[in-house]
Amino acid sequence: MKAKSLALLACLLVFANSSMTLSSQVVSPLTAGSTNTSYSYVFASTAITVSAGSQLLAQFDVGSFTVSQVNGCQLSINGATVSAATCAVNTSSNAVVFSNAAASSISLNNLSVSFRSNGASYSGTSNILFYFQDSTGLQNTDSRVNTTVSIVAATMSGCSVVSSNLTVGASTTYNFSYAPTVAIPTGSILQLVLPAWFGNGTNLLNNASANCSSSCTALLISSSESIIFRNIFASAGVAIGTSQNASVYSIKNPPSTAPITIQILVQTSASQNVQQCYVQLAVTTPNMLITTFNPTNTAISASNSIKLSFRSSNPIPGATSYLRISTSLALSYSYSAANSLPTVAPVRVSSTDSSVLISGLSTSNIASLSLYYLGLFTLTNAPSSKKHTISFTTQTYSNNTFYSIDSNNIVVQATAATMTIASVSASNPIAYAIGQFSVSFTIINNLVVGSFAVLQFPSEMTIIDSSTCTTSVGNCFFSGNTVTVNVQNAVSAGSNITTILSLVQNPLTTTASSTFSISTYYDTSDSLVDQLTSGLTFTAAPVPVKALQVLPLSKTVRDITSYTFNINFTNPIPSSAILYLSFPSSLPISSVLYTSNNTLSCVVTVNLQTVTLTSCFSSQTTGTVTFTLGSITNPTSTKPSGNFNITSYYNGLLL
Amino acid sequence: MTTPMTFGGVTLSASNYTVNAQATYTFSIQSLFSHSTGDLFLVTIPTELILAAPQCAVLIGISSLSCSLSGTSLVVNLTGSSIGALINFTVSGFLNSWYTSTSTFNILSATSDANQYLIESGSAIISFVVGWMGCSAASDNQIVLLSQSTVKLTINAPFTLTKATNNSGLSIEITVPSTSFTAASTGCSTNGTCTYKSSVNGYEVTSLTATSFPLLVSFSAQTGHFVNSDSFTIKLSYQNQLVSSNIDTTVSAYCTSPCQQCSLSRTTCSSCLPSSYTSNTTLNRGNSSCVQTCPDGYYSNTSTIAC
Repeated sequence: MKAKSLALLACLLVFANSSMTLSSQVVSPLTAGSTNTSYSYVFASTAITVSAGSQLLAQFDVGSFTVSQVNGCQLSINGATVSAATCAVNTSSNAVVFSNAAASSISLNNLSVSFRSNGASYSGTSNILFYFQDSTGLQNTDSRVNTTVSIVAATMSGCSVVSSNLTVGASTTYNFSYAPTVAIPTGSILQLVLPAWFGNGTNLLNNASANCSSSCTALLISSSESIIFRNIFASAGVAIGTSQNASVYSIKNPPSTAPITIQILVQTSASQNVQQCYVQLAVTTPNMLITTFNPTNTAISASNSIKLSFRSSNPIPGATSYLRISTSLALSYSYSAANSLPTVAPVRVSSTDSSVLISGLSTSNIASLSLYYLGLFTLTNAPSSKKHTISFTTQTYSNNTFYSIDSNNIVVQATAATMTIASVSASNPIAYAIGQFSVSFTIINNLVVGSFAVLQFPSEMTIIDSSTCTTSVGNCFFSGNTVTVNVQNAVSAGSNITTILSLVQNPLTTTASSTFSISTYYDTSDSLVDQLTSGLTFTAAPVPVKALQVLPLSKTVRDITSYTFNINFTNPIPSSAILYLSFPSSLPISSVLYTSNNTLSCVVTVNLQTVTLTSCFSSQTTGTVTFTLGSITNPTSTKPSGNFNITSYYNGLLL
Repeated sequence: MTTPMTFGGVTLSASNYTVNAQATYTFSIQSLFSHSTGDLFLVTIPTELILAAPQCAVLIGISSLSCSLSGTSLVVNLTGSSIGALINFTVSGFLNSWYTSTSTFNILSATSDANQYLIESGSAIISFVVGWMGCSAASDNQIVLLSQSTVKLTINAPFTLTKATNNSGLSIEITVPSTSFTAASTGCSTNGTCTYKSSVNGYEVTSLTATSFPLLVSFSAQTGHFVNSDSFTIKLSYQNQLVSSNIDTTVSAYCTSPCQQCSLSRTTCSSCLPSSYTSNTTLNRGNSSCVQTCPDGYYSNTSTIAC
């Protein structure tokens, strides 16, 4: 009995606690700045009586909402649409007011209301208070329901950021673009929010500046890595879809090629978020890595043990520090503790490509520009002097991706060897003769199948077009005076290669030719292996005159007599040629005299045993010339005098 | 050069010029230019001379030299220093020509080369004198003064004539002293071919060999009057070159004057010289003497000019 009494009392108390509660609400969109937001609410009511002529008010928070218009109003009470209800904005109370909500007093069980009106001006949580008030303006306090909406900032379109420099960590200019998806009211603020650059407390914005109009003020807030543009919209707002730009100068690029995300945020003048977007910036070019990696033995195929040192332009995060070395050369790494080397051994880890990837450069961050040593590497030089690039890149690792920080390329080039054993020979060494010609040389470094050699004959010689070429190592051909020898069988260092050309014309004179040059190449024309560029010359033998007849007037020992010389030249003698007539030592001459029967008119000078005859030929002369020299003392015995030697020169060259 | 220059002068002398005599020669060679050590003098030895084991000695002009034979040449090597233009030296070991030639020595100077190239040339001559040749004349009763006599000469070779390689080259000319004899154009006999040679009033004997000596030559001659005839001149030649001679061979009358002819002894006259040579022109048959007048008991037969 007592229990039944208590239940009844409770029931009475319930009836006495009349209220209206929110059953559901749908607000769309929930983004800030909307001018046409749909609001739909359903309330349940208990023991609330709505008197005739009452109004239903939806009163929005002042500040976040500025109700200026309403439409699409619908009101249902207890499931029945209140068709007489009308709605309007009461700007003073910042509310939407449904009039004629009840034609007569009605016990309210449930309530459905919907309308379209302004959305929140900025993001955040705001309240909309629903309640009835009677025709006298008295609020039905039992019907008060305070609803909450959470507004998010609107997402802007057309957002982008472009760095004018794509180098990691470089000082650059960021150019931002964005287009509002809700109108930007006058007085709004633009804020750019960047991530911390490297760890905390970095001076990303030091020395940075922003581009603003005359009334704009850019605030660089290092502590939050953000930039606030005040008064950027001071003179006018911005309509939806109107692209906007902003620039920040002297700002650093990201510390690696890992992308960073920057928030572009439009705020109210009170710094409340209205609309935003996020843009990613990824630079592509590693910054400078100053490396020291010098092979000391530049001989072809030589092995070098090298300790690497570098200074990085950007800091390297110790936890994920990597050095990637890419090269086509044979390169191995082995840690060897030594002075200035990291105490914890960096290790080589596998890489998906052929690069040498060293992990764990340091247990702590490596500051920019600090000197870092790493060793030891064994580099095997290339089999030729072709230039090879070794690429060093510091990297960090995140999101299963390696991102580059700094890098440097060094070019290493082995030194081509100089061949010292080479020879040339002609089957007929006479000047201007045509005959078989052989070039032999001993290589210093290995050649492989596909290697080739280039033999450059001196310009004084001519390879006859109809010549054939044979070689000991494969095949050969020539073009002009250049002979190419293709290696078809591998040739070991120290081996001899002989190339024979069937028809080569010797130099016109007996002056030593300019040098032959011989170059061997490993595979391409820039892969010089061995070379010889000097000292290999060919000296042709003089062309003998057809006949040199020496006729002393007296053949008596020690007689002072005259000598007649009949010279039958093999080749035409050009005008202004000079004749050198060398007397044997058994005929000492101090002076000679012409006699009258000369066929030549020469200027004669004597130097030791040589008589020089100049100005003899006024025009090209062929055949036999005769001249006589007197006052010559015969030898002191009948011993054959030794040879007279007649040579002819033209322009300083032996004919 | 084909022609060496000429020496400034070359002279040659011998210690003995007689044919076939051993001699030492002295060379004097004047050059126009000084020689060098090692130069050579090449002396061609005439074929008629023989040089064996030559020995050279410096006289002037060089400190030393050496000699050797090379074929027919004497090679003088100027081994010394301080060589002057005039070099005198002697060479011993020569055997003179065996006949009286005028022999020419061709002298060359040459270099020290293996081919011995010539520097100078020159020549020197040396003439040899005849040697003495033994000869004896028989003085027997076939020598009849003022009558046809048979003269017999025995000629000895001066030396072994085996050098006479040409058998027809040897000849002997016998000049009969015309004051004593008038050689008959016939009647000469010897071991060879004896031919009358009127130009010398004598004979030439040819076809001689080394073995022909001693050579006996017998010939007829009209004898004059003499006790001892004038000397014969006998010349041995080889191919017309004198080898040796004899000019002191004479013939003595066999019979003692006034015998013209005699027998048994030189004083046993069988006829007497005419009055031009003696006053005892009449033969005294009684005692085989020549008397002016017949002794008593004999009369003078004027036809026989005998008593």
